[in-house]
Amino acid sequence: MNELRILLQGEQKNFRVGETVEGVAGWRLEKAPRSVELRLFWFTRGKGTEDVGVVRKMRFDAPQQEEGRKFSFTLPEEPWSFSGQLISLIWALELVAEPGGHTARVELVVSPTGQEILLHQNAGA
Amino acid sequence: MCDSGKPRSGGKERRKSLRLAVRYEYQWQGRTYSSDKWSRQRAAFSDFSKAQALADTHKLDTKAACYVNPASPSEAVLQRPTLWIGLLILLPLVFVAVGVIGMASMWTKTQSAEQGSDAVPAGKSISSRAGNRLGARAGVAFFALFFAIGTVVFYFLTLRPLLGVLAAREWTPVSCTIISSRVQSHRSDDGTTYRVDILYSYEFDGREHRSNRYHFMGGSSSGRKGKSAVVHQYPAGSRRTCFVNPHNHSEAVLERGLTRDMWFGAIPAVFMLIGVGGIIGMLRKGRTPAADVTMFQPVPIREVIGTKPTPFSSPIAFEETPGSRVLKSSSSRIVGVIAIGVFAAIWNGVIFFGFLQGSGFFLRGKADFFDLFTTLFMLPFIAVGLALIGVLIYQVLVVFNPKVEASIQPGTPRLGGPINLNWRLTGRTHVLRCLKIFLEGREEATYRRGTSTYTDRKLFLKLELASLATHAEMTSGQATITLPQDTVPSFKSDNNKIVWAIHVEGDIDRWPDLKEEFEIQVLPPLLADAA
Repeated sequence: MNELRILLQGEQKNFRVGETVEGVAGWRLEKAPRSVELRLFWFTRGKGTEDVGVVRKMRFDAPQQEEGRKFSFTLPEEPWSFSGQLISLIWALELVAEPGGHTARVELVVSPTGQEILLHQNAGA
Repeated sequence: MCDSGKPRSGGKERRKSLRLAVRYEYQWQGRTYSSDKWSRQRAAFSDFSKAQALADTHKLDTKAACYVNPASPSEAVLQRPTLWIGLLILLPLVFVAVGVIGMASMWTKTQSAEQGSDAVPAGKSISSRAGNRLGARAGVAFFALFFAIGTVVFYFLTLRPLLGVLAAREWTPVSCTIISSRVQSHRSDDGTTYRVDILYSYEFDGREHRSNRYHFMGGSSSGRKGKSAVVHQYPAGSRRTCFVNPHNHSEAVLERGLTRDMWFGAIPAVFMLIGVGGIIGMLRKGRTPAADVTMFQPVPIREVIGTKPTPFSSPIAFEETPGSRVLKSSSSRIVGVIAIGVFAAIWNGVIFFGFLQGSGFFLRGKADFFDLFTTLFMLPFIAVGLALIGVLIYQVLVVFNPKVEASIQPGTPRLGGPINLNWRLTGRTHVLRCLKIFLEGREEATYRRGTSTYTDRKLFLKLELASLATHAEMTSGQATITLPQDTVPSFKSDNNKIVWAIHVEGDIDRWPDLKEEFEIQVLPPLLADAA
């Protein structure tokens, strides 16, 4: 049984731009992985073809079969989490172990207010 | 054992190509056979020197190896077909491979677009898709093919003739006699092409040689007139100077300099440039955004080995313009006219010259059943052609609409901040009945369905900057508005965008309305303002 998990400090998932996201990345795998990487990225969801932008990543060297490591990322100023009628932009942390492509993902909200921006509701259009 | 080898031609004027005539005897399992086959294919040459050089390798009463068909020993050839020809079979496979990669890429993208991220299984990585685009790789393969074909054609059409011109500067000038002079024509399904065919003889090193090479550009091309002019300069029986390769006496040329048709070399060079440009563009598109590793802290219960930092760069960057900025229209009227004009000309040209011109309506003034059927089949295409002409007329009228010059201050406004717009109308401003100016924010999502690409747009904000009805107000003015703070700045990725734009709309009676869009870049508020 392969298990990967991302635990965020205080289980916080809403962040303001420039804030630091901290937590622990842990994994328990059947075999010792060749590489384990934690990625901070945004991706789009909706009608358009998905776009993905990896902003920062942390590579854990010589990972053990079962391990937990702390991480800390400073969030950039852009882009912001938003949701419209065609596009939503979502931030996420993803832990990827190779070989096998085992993955765990946690979605985040990143904006100046810490809340997802609802395009049509806020603009009233 | 060969008895002779000699290039022969089929007559002075009717000669189509040179043929290598050969006859030889050979022994197979105690019996003697004879053959006149040079190779399995007909041994025909357009270059006399090449045929002569080949004939010289098999002189009368000399020994040579021949290849006998063991199943039918009476069949033999002196030259076996080269296996390199087999590589030509691979050429279409390259196109097949590009097609398969392209289809796989489209299928992958279509699935992604249709399923969206909601359908991503929990165990599948999303971040791994960044910068690892099959489409980019297919694009590189496609443009590499462009470059490869361009390079091969460039070699044969330009480089090889140029190398010949350079080498011939050292060749020996010799007096020669023109034996025959004519324009040779080649008919094919694509039309007739022509080449200069001048056969001449010369003496070199005490031996008579013949050649029919006029210049270093091989092959035939369209345009008979220029070639006829060359042929008239070399009438049969006249004496001229030719240039002989001192290392290969059967190789000679009449014109050893650069010729005008070498400009054809620019065509494959364009292919090569498109190939290189496309590869660079695709590699840039497919590049993984650089990432960063921030502070790393070990978990106390486990030993931490370390991390590898990599450089960081933001995937989205709009540059700030603090002063005023003159706005550029999102679309050019002239470019629009040219683009639609070219497309309409090609579309209607293909329909007319490809189908209608050959129809009985035009050729005989009356149509048979086949003509009626093809014309009926072509009706939708003719309708599209007529619609394109209509759109072209509309676009031409748009060119004569008043022109809008606009500038904003600051050049890159921030959310929550002011935006000051200045505008001026030039041209036929008197035709305008009213003018409205808006600030718009919209989503733009691009996706694939099958082989087609679509872009959907959805407005999320529309703020009126000005609504004017008098001529003086419309001609020039300014307006200020504060951008809302609770929305998003400009965003641009490969398939998804947040676009901010200023729209100018004017009503004109019995004429296409004035519609102009100026895209602007809206930045996030400064951190202090946002807080």
